[in-house]
Amino acid sequence: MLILILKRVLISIPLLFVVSVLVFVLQSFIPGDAAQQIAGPQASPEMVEKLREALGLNLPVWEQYARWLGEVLHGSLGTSLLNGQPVIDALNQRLPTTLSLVIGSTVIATIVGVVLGVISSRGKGAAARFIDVLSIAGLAVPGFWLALLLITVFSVQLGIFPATGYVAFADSPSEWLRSLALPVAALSLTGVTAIAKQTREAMLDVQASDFIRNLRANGIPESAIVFRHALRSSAVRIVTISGLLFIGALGGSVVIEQVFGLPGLGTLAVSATTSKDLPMIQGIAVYFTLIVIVVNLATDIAYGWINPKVRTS
Amino acid sequence: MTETGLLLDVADLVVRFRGRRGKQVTALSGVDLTIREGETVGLVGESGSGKSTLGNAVLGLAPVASGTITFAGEDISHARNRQRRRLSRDLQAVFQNPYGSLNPTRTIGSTLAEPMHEQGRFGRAEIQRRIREVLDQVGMPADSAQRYPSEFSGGQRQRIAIARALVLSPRLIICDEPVSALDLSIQAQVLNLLGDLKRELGVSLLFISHDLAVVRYIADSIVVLKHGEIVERGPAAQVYDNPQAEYTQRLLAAAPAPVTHVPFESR
Repeated sequence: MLILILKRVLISIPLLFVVSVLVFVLQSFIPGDAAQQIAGPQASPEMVEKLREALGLNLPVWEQYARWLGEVLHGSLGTSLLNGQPVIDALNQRLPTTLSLVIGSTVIATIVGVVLGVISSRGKGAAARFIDVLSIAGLAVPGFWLALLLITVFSVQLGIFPATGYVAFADSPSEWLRSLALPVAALSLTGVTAIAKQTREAMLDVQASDFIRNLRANGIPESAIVFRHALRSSAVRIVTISGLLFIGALGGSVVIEQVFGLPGLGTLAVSATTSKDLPMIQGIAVYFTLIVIVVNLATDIAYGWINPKVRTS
Repeated sequence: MTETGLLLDVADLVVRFRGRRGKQVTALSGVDLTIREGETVGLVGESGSGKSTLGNAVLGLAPVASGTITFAGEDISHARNRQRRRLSRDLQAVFQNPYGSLNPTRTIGSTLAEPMHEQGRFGRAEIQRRIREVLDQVGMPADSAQRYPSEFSGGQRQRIAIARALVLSPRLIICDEPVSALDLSIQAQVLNLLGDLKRELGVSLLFISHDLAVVRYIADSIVVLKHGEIVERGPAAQVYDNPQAEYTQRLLAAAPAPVTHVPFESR
């Protein structure tokens, strides 16, 4: 297991490098740059050019990248071109918001999805069809639309939850929960349906297998069969989907944070891209990549814990 | 216990399943079958003949529409959990698929211990001792208990599945195509093992197979099933060597004799 973790950490270094190069090259194709943004539309071309030189934006792309990489190797991600704030500070300030949202929606999606999946795998006909309809609806409904719907109903009409804004956990745990309720709900719907469907299929597969037949023939109570045997065997599939969901939710958070006005990495990514704040974009890419690497590693460790085949090989 | 060690008595058994669009499918229509203490009865027939359904009905895995299943004098036609758990001391099963018959996430020891745990009257040391004993009986090393199903071959897994069936020292084991998924050479080994156990432990077997030659090897008497009805029954040698029913003759003719190839039963 230790070797597995070490391997993953080593592989992640070239991965980070490739991602950072890709993001750098891709953003260089976008017309305009931060100098134009900072100087504003009224500025003279000379002023913009001066600013460009000061920021090092006149250099060839590879040289700009080399400078950035140099900073990274010194343990910094540079400073924002717009306001001079260290990128790391800006990111760390916003990370908890995004993690609360993404972890929250993955956990909710997994718990609710597994419960629905197990119920539908036990029920005949109606329950199963309900989950099927729900899962198609869940995949078809776009998150931002659901978000607006939730705001209309729960914030505007019922006034139960705030429509926008974020309260840090440290400031007020209860307000933190309230501020996250709607975004998490909006972000987790797709996940709930995906997990429910996968759980149902996995449970049906396992329950058709001979070892479950054997337990039934031995008069083992259904509850023990479901929880001690079938669910445990289905867990590999559920964990796989959960890991994928987490990564999907990370992408989805960009839109959801925007809709709910949450000060997370997603909103920062949007504003940094529109203003072409290069170091900030790079920093966000690095953070997102790191999160994905950590999640994948966690998924692998979970596999080993659930499935002895992985553990021994 | 009733007349002359009668262990299992299936009388006029009817099993129906709900098919598509609520149509009833009759899997077994009025089947009679008895197994005496220590006897091995072979149940043969093609796919869909209802032979597995009969085993399932005895194990409580198929719904009994009418008729009775009596085990050691007790009506078990509709036995549910509590009765089943008590019954499992005397009635066990080995199924076809050696890959699906063991929970892949549990050690062999844990799988073997489960039936004893469920009985709730065995101590930890007693369970461990019994696990070593049954592993030895099926020719598996004692250290298998710490390992996982994925570390064993199909034949070894089937031995382990047999060990699990033996743990509670049952009087009857339902063997549903126990060797059909195995290579021919492994089939012979597992069959020999079942033969040995039957002799040494005096356990009765209901041996379900589509392969008459395999059944002939292990069974004392043979029952031939076709479309949920019994078409022929008698001592194994007689049914195999001198089949009366046309269906049995076809079954025999269909298998290249002597056994050189055992086709997979598709289900």
